[in-house]
Amino acid sequence: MEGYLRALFKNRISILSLIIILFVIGLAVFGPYFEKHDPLETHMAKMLRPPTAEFPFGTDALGRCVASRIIYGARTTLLAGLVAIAIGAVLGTFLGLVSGFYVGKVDNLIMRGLDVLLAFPYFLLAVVIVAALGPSLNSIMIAIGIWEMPYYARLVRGSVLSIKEKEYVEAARMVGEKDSSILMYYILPNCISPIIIMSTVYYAWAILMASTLSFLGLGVQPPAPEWGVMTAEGREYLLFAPYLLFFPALFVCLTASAFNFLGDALRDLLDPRLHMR
Amino acid sequence: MKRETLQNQEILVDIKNLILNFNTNRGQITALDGIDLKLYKNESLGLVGETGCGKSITALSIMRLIPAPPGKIVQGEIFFDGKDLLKIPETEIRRIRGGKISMIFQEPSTSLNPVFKVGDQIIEAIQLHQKLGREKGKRKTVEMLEKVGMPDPKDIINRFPHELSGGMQQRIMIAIALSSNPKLLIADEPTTALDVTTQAQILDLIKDLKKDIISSMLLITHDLGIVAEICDRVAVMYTGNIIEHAELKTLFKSPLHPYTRGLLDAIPKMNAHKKELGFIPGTLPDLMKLPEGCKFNPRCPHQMEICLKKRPGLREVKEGHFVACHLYSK
Amino acid sequence: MGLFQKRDMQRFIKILRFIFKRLFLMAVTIFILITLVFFTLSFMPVDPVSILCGPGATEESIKAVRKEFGLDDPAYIQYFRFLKNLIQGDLGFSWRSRQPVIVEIMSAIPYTVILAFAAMIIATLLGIITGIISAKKQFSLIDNISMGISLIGVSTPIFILALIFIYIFAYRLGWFPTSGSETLSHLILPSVCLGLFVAASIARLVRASMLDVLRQDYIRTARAKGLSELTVVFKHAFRNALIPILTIVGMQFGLLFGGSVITETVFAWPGLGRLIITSINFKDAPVLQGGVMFFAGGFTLINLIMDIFYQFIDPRIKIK
Repeated sequence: MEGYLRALFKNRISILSLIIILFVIGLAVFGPYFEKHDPLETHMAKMLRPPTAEFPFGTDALGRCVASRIIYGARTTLLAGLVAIAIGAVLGTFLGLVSGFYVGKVDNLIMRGLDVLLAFPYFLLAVVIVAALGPSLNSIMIAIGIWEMPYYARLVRGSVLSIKEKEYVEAARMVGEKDSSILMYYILPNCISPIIIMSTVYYAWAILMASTLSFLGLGVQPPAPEWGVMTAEGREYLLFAPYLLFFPALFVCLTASAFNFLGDALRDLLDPRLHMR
Repeated sequence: MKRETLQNQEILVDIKNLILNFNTNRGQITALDGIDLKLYKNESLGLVGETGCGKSITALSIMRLIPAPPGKIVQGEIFFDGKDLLKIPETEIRRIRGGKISMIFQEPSTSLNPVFKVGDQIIEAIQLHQKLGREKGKRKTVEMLEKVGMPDPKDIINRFPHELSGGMQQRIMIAIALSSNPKLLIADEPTTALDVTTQAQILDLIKDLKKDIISSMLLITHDLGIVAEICDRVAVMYTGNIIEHAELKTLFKSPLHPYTRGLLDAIPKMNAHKKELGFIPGTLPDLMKLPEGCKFNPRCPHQMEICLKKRPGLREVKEGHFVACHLYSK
Repeated sequence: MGLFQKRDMQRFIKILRFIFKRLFLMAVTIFILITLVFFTLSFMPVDPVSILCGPGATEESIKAVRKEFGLDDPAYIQYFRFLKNLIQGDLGFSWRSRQPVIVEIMSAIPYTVILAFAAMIIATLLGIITGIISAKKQFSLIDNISMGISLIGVSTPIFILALIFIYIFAYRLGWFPTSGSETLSHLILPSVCLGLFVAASIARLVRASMLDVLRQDYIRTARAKGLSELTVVFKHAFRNALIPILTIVGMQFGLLFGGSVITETVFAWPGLGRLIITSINFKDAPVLQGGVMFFAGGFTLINLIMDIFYQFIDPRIKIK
């Protein structure tokens, strides 16, 4: 384990990614203590100001402090992503375990079902779900979770299939252990590793999806601060106040990139086969 | 055919003091530590040693097939046809590869391209080195397939590698290698990956071809039994050095180096009186932490003081018999 | 000697059977898809009546409208009516424009097709070439830079990429118009944007695939035969990497289509994706439903074509 950590730190980009991630998390958690402005509070007299000492990132069209909106937006985005992949991971892992372990008809059924979900290009599935549930933060979390589910399921199923063949599993079976305990104690622990590794990447996807959906007006609604929403709002003033768009966009890119780089490095290190998904 | 004495024989390949390093993520390893080896025309030389001693690497170096970023040839010369193979331009060495010097590998199943038909892979080699047209190339292909003992060559040329057995795949490789009538055939553990019966068949094939189109051969193996069947001379390698080489009978009857003796002792013999198989104590040294002096000294039953300090050079102790051991350097 | 041997014919027949089986499977998938979309969207918190009648509608007109659209019937009857209409090619009428949904969709599809086509060509060419070069020159500066850019490309949500493009090329440099669809120059910005986005994904996966292939024994054999590096890489290696590369490119269609939805929206390109998004914003359920079904259905069809194509290329695949 230490060997992995050491090797991870050797890679400069991984270090950079970790720093960025910690920074963003720190921003989300501790930010409000430093930035005193309320993200929803408007200062109409000071609208559309470029970055100054009082407003480190400037103010938007309604005179709100962009910096504090970024900070609260961080909370929203990070949390939304977390809940989303949690939903996807739980559902997907369950399906993957069942599918991989019991193979045969059950496996077929589950995989076909997931194929239907995957028949939706990229994020159209999320769009449909959000449309059905009405645009809100909760809808996008559920939508993204359901969208991520097949990926987790396939990942776990792959792991299960290869672990199932190992001798210690067969031995446990022959001794007469219950299926559920075999799953829990033998198979699941071995799936945890790829799940965690891929979760970094899936998390990056979730963040991108969340901000995209919000940008399109399908997620978090204004005036709530969220990076995607802020980008949409900032678009109108692109010409003369580009920083309105620049800051939230930058944060989305940085955060997603950091998680992606990290996930890449982890995959290179621990299981290069995962690169082919 | 009566063999000429060593002095009268022409040298085909002359490897002089070849030193090759590998950059790994644990540091730099010296894979070849000053190899001196001569291959003669019309002779089969067996290169034996344990896994990891550098025999395959030596072979690959002759063809300059060592990937350059991790591997680096630091020093040395390999003379062939009057030229130093390590210094000639890329275009020239490519003409020699598959042309004057050919190689077959250990795993035939992965050494053939899975998406091309077998016949096409042979024709490719033929067309490259002999500039024949498609039709002539095809005919030559069928000819080669017959020579290597393939049943129904006209059908085989349309097959894909995965449709053939291991033995047939290896025959294809041999056909490819011999299609250009090379002066030297390098065979890197050609039968190790095959089952015993197929092994025997391929060895028989090689023996037959030796009388026909194989002129010189470098056979790499860890199996002294195979060497005994096919080779004229034998060279023994240990962690990147040649430690002994001699004519086949001489080496088997009177091995000089303690390591060679150990290897021969480990072979079960029909009329042996001992009940136990001999073995060489200790294990191969870690290439990152090689012993001082003679690299074999920790395991050598005849270890002397000088062995711990100085590396023994390869010296001709009897006619045609070279050893690198302080026991004989008086 | 004949063109086809008996073995080739047998293989051909196997492939045909495979195609039919998959077509059937696709039909089932699309059917389930349609059903799923229908019932999911039935949860939409909209009241079509208020949209259709507008504010200040009378009781009678509301009742009449409900009857006309069959909104009082139970769900399963609405479903069957929907299916019946679907077979006849009738997807209903847009609540916003009162135009037949089919018409709106059909006029939007060509735009999406053009955009997707252009973007895919850019993405494939750029992605594959970059991936191959990166793999061949692993660890070099080119490799690190292009993989770094690709990773950032994959991590940037496409709407931001689109906005950056608009900012730089349309606003600042004034080379291209920011939106609309009249001329060819209107196409360039969105297709390059979408193309680069997908190219980033393709490049990374192609590189991984090529690296894997270049490590194989048969590449060493090819070199030992004396073939030039170019031949080794582009004939022996590429041909083997082609199969996973095509799979990769096929998988990117999902990215492409999904990305086109956003690209169309940001660039106001009147394709199917934009239609879908605006229908959500206007709460126009029939268009949303029809649009999504078409989109997903078309995507499934393309996946099938890719799958079939894939069968032809790999001689190792055992056709079930």
